[in-house]
Amino acid sequence: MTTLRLQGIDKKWDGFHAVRNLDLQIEDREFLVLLGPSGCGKTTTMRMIAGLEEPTSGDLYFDEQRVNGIAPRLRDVSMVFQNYGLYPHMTVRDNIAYPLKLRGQPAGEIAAAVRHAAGRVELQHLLERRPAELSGGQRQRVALARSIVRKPRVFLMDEPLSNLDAKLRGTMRAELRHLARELEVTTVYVTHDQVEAMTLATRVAIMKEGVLQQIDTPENIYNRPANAFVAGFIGSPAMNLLHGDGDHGRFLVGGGHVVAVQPPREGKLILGVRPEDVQLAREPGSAQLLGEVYAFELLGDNTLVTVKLEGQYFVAKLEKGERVKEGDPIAFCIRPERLYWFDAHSGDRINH
Amino acid sequence: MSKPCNPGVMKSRLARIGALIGVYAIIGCILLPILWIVLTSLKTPRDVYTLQLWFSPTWDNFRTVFAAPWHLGDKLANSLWVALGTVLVAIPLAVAAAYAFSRFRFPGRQALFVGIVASQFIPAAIVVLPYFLMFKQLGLLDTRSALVIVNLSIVLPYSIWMIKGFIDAVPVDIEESAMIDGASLGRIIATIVVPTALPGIITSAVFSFTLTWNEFIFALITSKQNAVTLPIALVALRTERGDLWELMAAAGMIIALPMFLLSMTVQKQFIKSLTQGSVR
Amino acid sequence: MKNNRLAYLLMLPALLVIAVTTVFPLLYSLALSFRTWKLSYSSSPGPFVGLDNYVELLAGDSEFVGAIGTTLVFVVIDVLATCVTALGCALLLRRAGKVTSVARALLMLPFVMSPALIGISLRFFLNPEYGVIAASLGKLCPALDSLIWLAEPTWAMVALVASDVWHWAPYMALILLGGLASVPRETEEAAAVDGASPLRIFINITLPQLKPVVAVVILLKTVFALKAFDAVFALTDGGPGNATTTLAYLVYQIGFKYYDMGYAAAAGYVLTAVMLVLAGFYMRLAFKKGI
Repeated sequence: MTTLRLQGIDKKWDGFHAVRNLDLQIEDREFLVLLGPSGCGKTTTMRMIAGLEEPTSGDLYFDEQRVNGIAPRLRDVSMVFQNYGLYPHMTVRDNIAYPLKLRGQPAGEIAAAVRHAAGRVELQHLLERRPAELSGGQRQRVALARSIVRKPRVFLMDEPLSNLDAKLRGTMRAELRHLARELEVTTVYVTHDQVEAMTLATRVAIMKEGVLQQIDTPENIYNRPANAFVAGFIGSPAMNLLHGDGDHGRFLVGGGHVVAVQPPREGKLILGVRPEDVQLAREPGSAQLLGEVYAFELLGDNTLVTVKLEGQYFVAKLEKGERVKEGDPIAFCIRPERLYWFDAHSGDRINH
Repeated sequence: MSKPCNPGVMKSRLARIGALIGVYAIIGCILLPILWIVLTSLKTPRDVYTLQLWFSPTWDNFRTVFAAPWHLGDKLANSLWVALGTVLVAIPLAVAAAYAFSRFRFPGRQALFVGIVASQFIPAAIVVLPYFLMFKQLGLLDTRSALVIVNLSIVLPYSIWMIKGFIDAVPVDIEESAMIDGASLGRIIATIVVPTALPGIITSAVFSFTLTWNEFIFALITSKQNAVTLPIALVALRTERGDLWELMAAAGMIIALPMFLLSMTVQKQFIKSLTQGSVR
Repeated sequence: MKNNRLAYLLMLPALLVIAVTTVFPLLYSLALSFRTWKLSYSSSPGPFVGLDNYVELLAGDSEFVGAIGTTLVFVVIDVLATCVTALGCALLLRRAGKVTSVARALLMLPFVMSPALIGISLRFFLNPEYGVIAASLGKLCPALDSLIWLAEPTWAMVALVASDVWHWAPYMALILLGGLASVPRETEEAAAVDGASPLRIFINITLPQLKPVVAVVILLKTVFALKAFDAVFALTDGGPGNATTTLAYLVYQIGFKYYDMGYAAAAGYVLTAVMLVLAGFYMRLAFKKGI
């Protein structure tokens, strides 16, 4: 039973403000993903939870007990590092056993625990090897085994999949999800990959430049993004964000190109619509957006068509059977409930 | 990311204060002796022998040491001549040899290189004897050229070793592009490899200069009057007329100051080449 | 494809110089060690005596055997003191920060100073009447006041070691810093999170990864300690008596105070033999993966 609370957490280095006034409540057995581009403060936040860095100001609570200043080894967390942090001079077995050895557990118990953890990640046959002799995927599993060999209060994972090739990443994602649910330990997971976030998290916390943008379930983040940044970060291909003006009941992209949708107000706005929510206008008079095909990509399971409007790109995801040619005129319509409006200055979503 | 290098271990306040004291202790241990010598060089004899901390400084010691009978100026000229001469001969030779070791694979490459490196493990004492005897017979005792020859034996192997490391770090691609463009080997070495490895070559040159400048036992044996270099002049100040510490401090400053300045200029490069994880 | 003839051409000048300036004198010395030649008697080499010089050195010469003992003591204490000091400095100066940057920048200074100068300066500092270290230590500990440091065999050796440590430890600290930089921070952080105290991290994680660098540092320092001459000459002249007469100094003494050339060459070659054995170890370590 471990809850985490970050209150007013702030971290500054030499003029670089890494984390700004962060408030976060993580529930027991939650799988919280810290998501964001590099430099957004997610890794720093995790390192503060681990005790590898101390907040410049703010308080950190484990189960409502303040842990500021307590050494990592006393916080009872385990961590999988981005580059795994395996001890190069020890065998896989000794690597996994190390946390237990440090706690002075009897050799018999340690051996059993190591065997169990290694079995969980399918490393039983590699126990006598050294890290240098292992592949990237195998090393990652050793790091994982080391983190699950004892039952910590919190699992921390810092971009554990980012050094694996794409195919392996997919399988490991599934393994991680399964493992976390099985072990029932509160987990904090850092990544810049929104696919990992969406598939693994019970909740996602998106950060940008040290500031928390939104924290919610993956579904809510996807359907109700708090601002333009979140909207554009989640989803692949990314949501179209068109800058323009609301003008007398229409939206003018870049002040020029007309889109026949009803803006919530006059003035500078950002129109957001996901490529998969755009359809070809088949009914006469249903067309809301007209343009010329700038580029198209055949992806096998669908086709991406790009249109250029006043210098801004607009991407539509169409059925795989659709065939278009560059330069062809094309007309789109958009389901009104799938339109998003954002304030052009703050980026915040406008509810209407 | 170049964040503060901290092995992620939260230290207690006591340990942190202790570490800071340790760092200041290191700075103190290095600087205080040097500082004391600087002060001594500016003191009158009376101030020196009474361990004064506050005194009125004087340049007299420097003036004395450059005048008769010490003529430190001549010794300074000797040191400069020998050091520059050695470096000017050694570096081009070392660059050529280092390039050969780095870029070619020829029979005997490994053995030869190991042999060259091994020559640094030879104590000077054993080489001084034959040098003394040979120079005596050739009438080269007490000449600067003799010192250059001797210092070459010290400096050349070390330079080849160091410079090879720096040439190894130059990517072969740029040489191969030049070859395709039509450049000859000599052109490639002169206009491409050397400029790219230049910081390293300069570092090696400075190192060699330092070794020669501070070289002691050979200069002690082979020089008497004409080719006396600065370190020998320093100890000579001791044996005659008792110990003239204020003059020795002044002479010491003359010896050390150029070395400090030189080392400051290349130190960044040297530290960089060291902290890149390679130990040479 | 470059042909090897060019390689030989490039190396020729350097190899020639090395042959003349190093190989030739070495062989000359070897030949010399098989003869007796007292320069004070004649200016041409004496008769061939085979291994007599070596036999006399190792079997009968108390000075030589004494020098071996002295050298052993000096080298062991010196290498230990230097390496521990260097490691301590490296660990202290590992963190970033304004003060540590200043300290790191100063590390080159002692190394570029002539050991003779360092020796003379220490001699000055230890003078019982006006030496600043002698005076400071005397004030701190009255029992040591007016002690003639360099006249005591033990303290003379301590002073010699101190001068050598001051010269070498900062430079070795720089090399160790380089080694420490290549120990991935993550391995130490992982240990911290796994539950290791700072001491355990150092012993279990950092030091094992530092082993190759430390081995090289110890080896190199041993070699340079065996070579040490300048400081001995400047600080103690081998004294008091022969309390600090190392092998290197003894060779100089035999050759240029007694002018017994053949004998000196033999003594020198014994030293050289030891150093070449060490050189062998160094080569194996440094060039494990080829040159």
